[in-house]
Amino acid sequence: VFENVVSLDERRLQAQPKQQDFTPKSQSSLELTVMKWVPVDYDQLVRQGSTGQFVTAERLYGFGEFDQMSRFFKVSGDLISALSECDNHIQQGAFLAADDVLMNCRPVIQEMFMLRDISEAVGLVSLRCLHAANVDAITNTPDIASTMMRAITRLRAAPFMKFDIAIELADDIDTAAGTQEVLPGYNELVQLLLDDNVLND
Amino acid sequence: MTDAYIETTTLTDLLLKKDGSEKAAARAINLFSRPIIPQFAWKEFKRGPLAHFIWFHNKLIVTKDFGRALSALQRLSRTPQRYMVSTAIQAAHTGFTSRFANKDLEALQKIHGEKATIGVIVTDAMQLELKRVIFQAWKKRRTLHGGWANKLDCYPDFELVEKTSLINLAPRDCPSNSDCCLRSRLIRDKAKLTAVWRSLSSSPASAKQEWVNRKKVLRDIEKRPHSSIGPKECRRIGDAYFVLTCPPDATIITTNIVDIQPMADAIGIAYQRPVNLSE
Repeated sequence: VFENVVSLDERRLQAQPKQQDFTPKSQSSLELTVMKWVPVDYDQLVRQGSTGQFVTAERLYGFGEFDQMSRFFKVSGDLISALSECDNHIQQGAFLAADDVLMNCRPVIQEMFMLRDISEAVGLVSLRCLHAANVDAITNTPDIASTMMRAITRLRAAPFMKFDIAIELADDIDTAAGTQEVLPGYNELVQLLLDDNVLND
Repeated sequence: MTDAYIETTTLTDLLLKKDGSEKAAARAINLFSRPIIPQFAWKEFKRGPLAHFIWFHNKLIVTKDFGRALSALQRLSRTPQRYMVSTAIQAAHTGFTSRFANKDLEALQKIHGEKATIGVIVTDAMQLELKRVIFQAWKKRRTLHGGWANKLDCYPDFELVEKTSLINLAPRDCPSNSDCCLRSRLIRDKAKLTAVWRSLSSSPASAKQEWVNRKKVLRDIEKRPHSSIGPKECRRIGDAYFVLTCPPDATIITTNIVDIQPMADAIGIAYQRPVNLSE
């Protein structure tokens, strides 16, 4: 059972090339309520994919193999599994194995960052995961896998979450990583932006 | 130590910087039992440093190119710093290149196209990070060290608004027809007001345009205490606000010693750099 609250806006739907048969009845943004994937009457669910203000999970999955949304579900699922494995290793004290799994998460996180057009929340959380996965020694950051797993799970459940919530998840990841790694070029940019000579009256 | 009176530059270090200054500011503030952040500091913060961050964030959205946004920043600066611009671009590109192995990028580019090029990755990452810092910083005005103190009656406090991905910080100032609430506060102690504006004349930097403007506003308030002053005059009061409203036993925490020192010395107000306190 897949259950969640999601908000989609019209532009995102129009950006999906494989979804030409989907025409929202309302031209304003779509507020999606509850999605349930009930495998009992599958055909009927597919037929009822669009009911104006309602988009089923089947519709989201049905965008096609190369669609961003279906990729996101696949990649985030893979990442959650890998992070769960990493966390198990940490719990058992197998730090080398845990570190190895975390290092191997990097390509998956990179892939997820490529899906940042889905929402800024996806972009921000995957960006912070990318930095957090750079930890030198996982023994110093024992909560890293479980924290990232929790964040990705929440993101997977609500990819269009409010940016404020994404900020909280990003903060949790940074805290678990033990250090808030600065984005390359950030300090140089700040120096320029805070320079007294930038015009401002 | 008892009260810390936090000035805009320290607030900026605390909320926007990530080069160690933010830790020095936090350590310094924690030495005091009661940190006070006047709403005036938040007002200056929003109109100055935060506005610059928002402008750059919006420029990234519009240009979709970190390098082009930096070039625009350089052109708006009174003293273009070409070296610093190229350093920023270089640092960002080097940093992100090290996070994506070449063959990984090539594979990602086959699937995701331009989105997987370093230039676009840097631009998008910087935009996301700036948006995070901007919203996080402004949100803290209600909670950081108990929220703002010394509320400004004429200043409209609003949340930041997003319109078509661009952040809007309006209103920047108090309404143009408002009578600044600082006038009545500053006139309460006329002797202090006089000492402060006089200190601005006797210092070697007295010819500085910022000081000339400040002195004029302070003098006008002293001479014509019942005449109203507007948002422009309020802005020009600037650092004098912190000196004139600082509680007697508090210390102003500032990195802007040059501007604070002569005024604070004139009326016996203590001031410190965060870095000096945290060492």
